[in-house]
Amino acid sequence: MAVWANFPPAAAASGDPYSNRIHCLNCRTLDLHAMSPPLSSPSSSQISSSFLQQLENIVGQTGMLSAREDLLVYECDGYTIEKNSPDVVVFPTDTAQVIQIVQLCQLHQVPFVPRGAGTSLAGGCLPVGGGVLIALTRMRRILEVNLRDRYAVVEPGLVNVHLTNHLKGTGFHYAPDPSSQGACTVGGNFATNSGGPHTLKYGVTVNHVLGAQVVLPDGSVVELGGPCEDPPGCDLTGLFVGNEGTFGICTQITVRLTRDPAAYRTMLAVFNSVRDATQAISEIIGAGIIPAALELMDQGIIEAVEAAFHFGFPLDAAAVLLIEVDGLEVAVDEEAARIRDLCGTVGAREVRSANSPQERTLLWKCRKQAFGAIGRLSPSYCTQDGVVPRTRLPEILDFILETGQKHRIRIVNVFHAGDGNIHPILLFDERDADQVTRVLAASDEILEKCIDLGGSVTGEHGIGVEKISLMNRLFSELDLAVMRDVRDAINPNGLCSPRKMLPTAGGCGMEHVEKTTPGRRAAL
Amino acid sequence: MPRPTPEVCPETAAELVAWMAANHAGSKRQVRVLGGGTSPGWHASRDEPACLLGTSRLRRVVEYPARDMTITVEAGMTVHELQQVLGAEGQRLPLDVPHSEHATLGGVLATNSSGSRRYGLGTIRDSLIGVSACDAQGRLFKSGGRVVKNVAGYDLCKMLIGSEGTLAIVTQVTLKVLPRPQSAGAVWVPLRALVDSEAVLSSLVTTQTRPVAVEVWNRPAVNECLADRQEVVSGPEGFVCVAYEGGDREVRWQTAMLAEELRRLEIACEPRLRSEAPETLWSELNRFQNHEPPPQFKLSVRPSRIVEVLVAGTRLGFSLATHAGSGIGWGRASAGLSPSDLAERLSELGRIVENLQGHLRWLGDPAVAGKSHPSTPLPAGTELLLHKLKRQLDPDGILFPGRPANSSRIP
Repeated sequence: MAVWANFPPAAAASGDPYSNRIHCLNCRTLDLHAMSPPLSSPSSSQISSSFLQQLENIVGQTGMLSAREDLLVYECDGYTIEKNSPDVVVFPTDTAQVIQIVQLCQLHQVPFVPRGAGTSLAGGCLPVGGGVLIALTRMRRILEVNLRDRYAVVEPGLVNVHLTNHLKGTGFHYAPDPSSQGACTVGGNFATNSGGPHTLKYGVTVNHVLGAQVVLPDGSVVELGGPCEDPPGCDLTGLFVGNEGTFGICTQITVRLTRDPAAYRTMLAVFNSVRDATQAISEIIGAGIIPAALELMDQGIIEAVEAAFHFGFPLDAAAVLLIEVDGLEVAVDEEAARIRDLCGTVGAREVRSANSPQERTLLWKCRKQAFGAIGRLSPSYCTQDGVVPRTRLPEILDFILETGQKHRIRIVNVFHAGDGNIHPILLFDERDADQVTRVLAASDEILEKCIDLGGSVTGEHGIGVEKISLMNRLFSELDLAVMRDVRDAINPNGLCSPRKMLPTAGGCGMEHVEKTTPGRRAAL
Repeated sequence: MPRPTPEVCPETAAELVAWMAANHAGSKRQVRVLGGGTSPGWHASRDEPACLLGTSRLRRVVEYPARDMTITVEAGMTVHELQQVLGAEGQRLPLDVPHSEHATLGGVLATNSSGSRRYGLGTIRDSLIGVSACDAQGRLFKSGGRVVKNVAGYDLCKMLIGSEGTLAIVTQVTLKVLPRPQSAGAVWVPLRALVDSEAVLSSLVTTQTRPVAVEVWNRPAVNECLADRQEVVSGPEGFVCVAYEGGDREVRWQTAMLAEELRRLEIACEPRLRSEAPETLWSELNRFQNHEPPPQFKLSVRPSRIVEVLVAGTRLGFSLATHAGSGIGWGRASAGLSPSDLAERLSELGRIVENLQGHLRWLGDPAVAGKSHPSTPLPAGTELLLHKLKRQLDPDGILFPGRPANSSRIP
């Protein structure tokens, strides 16, 4: 597949990352220069050889990349529509190096952006302003595990699943389990407040973060929270989770460890219509049952997943629900039986059970790697991350179906149904400009509908650069002004992750980097 | 405790916002927010010239889509009233707070209040999904939303938790709710020696059960607050109580299982199983925090160090009731201690807690503890950050004067 770069090579070569045009849907085409807050825009000329030398003095020759070809990997994350190359990537190995890097950037007024594994899906670690990309993947130690006090202290570059693997056999695990957990980092999860299938019962990242060490945008270090609960002052730890890299560089994280469930029951409910499946979700939640996970896959996904993993999914089913209950052995059977009954009431064709740990593992593999299997359905795809109140799922699924038909785009669905967090996947061929236009229109209509139904435009992927234009639909000017005030208190000159999350003050709010292709997304 | 009468008590959020905006544009009077007036620390800082603004009239249910298991209510509603509304649908807010008949949701949020079941249920940060608030300039803003999963924008809900009315006045909250559990039960371990509690607490790391509360109280706390139950629940030096809630079978299985696990430990006291009405159990475990006079201090250490603090605190003559599973303790000095004696003993306890990297906060009358009040200072970096937030959101210092950026230092 062709790699699409939306920044003309000439602009990249000129070293002026701000030369990209942005398009305002309502009024006019703007130039980012014109509406930028006072931020010295970097260019290659500002990244002087002496600046590079000073960086090298901090991280060593093996701790940085600056050759154009080496930087290509870092020009985007899982959101590939918009790309921009950093001027240099550094790989610090400890907090002291991060402090020196940030201080150097401040001294030279060069923007900097933190990055974990780059699996995020909204452009959160896109170096919009060029400058220094601080890759934290070499800070990946587990510094402390304390089972008695139920916490672990880890470095931000630690891969999520490595922590849970490290804990195997102890009876504890780290609960947030995004589908990309085999690659994504705990620091990235902290920055985006990641979710995952099991967050339905156990909560998202913020519910499992007790504290953090953060190098603030001014280069000072702050210790937020920690293993002692209820630290004095307001919940700064909670405020920092989900900041999408705009509040500094997180260098250590104290996470809560969760007891492993004593027992699981994993089921697969098969439905002849998507509406029946969404109705079942509504009935289960409405009956006051909170399963550990409740995931929906529709026919298109079943087809792709079955071809890839051969689980034995019924290919003629319109949708399946992957339902897991966990807890005490004495309780799970009763809960599973209630769920079976409720599925039966709304017309489930059958409800299968995973009969062994191996079957359960395979079922979860099918779900978590569903996105990897999409390549079997179309050359390109684009996924959205809307949220609706859980009882409105039948409505939004109907709307997605109609929207797909209206724009002649095939849309398949695999999502965290129990949370109301939808992930419609729009299938297309990016070589066909007309399809691209229709995909963009359909995506926007679906997200607008989520807002109309009382929901949100992102449940777990974040705003990044992708959804900045929707912030004004979701929030009032005052809401955004207060958010800006908070950012300005922590990141006053905006050098840390410029132009993320919040629309630029004074813009009309509809501006976003002009999309020419939705591109292919990484794993969910 | 006598409840002060607010000078301004808006009927609606719009009225509150209009008053705050007019105040900001005009006289810029300082404002203290009053919820239920139940927080032990609230009365400790007195700012007589400030205008007292009450939220008690903001108590409407804004939206309750019960099948979505979320609810949006105004911030002046009491926790008890909210639980009544939810109870009609077989649901509840999974949050255990003292003085729930008077404590308002805005107050619980602002003070991050919680009770014994925080071990299993979490605190307000785990249930709060959306908030509306008015800042000192009269700007009504919101954060989060009404869906259970949402990462759009900064999480200002969290920023306001524990902010004690210094950054904004909360007008409305949206909460995740859960089904109401059927029953509750507990295993009480009377203690001949406080140090024996450590064996029980350590054993919980690998217990097959999933407790919702893990409490250790010393004997003076029992004498003050559970005198009617002391023969049943307590030994000469206090008790450990491990409590459960859920379905009948789950609770019965767990209390029996824990009792069996504890019998295998070589501690001198026989665990006692009690099944009782959930309301009775939870109200007993919250009696220390509900007691009049209220607790004078709160402390927090890592859970594994709480027994050291209990032993030291008991030696120093304090009554202590701890949410031991969370490392949180509430304490009071015995009556009749001279102010200088109290100040000295508190300082010693504060030193012990700080040596364990924990923190202690004095909530009583600042005059009693003397000039060298024993509250643990905020880490310098955190305090600076809080001041920057305060300056940005309330540059004129209108909200909660005397407690800038909710510093733990008593003004």
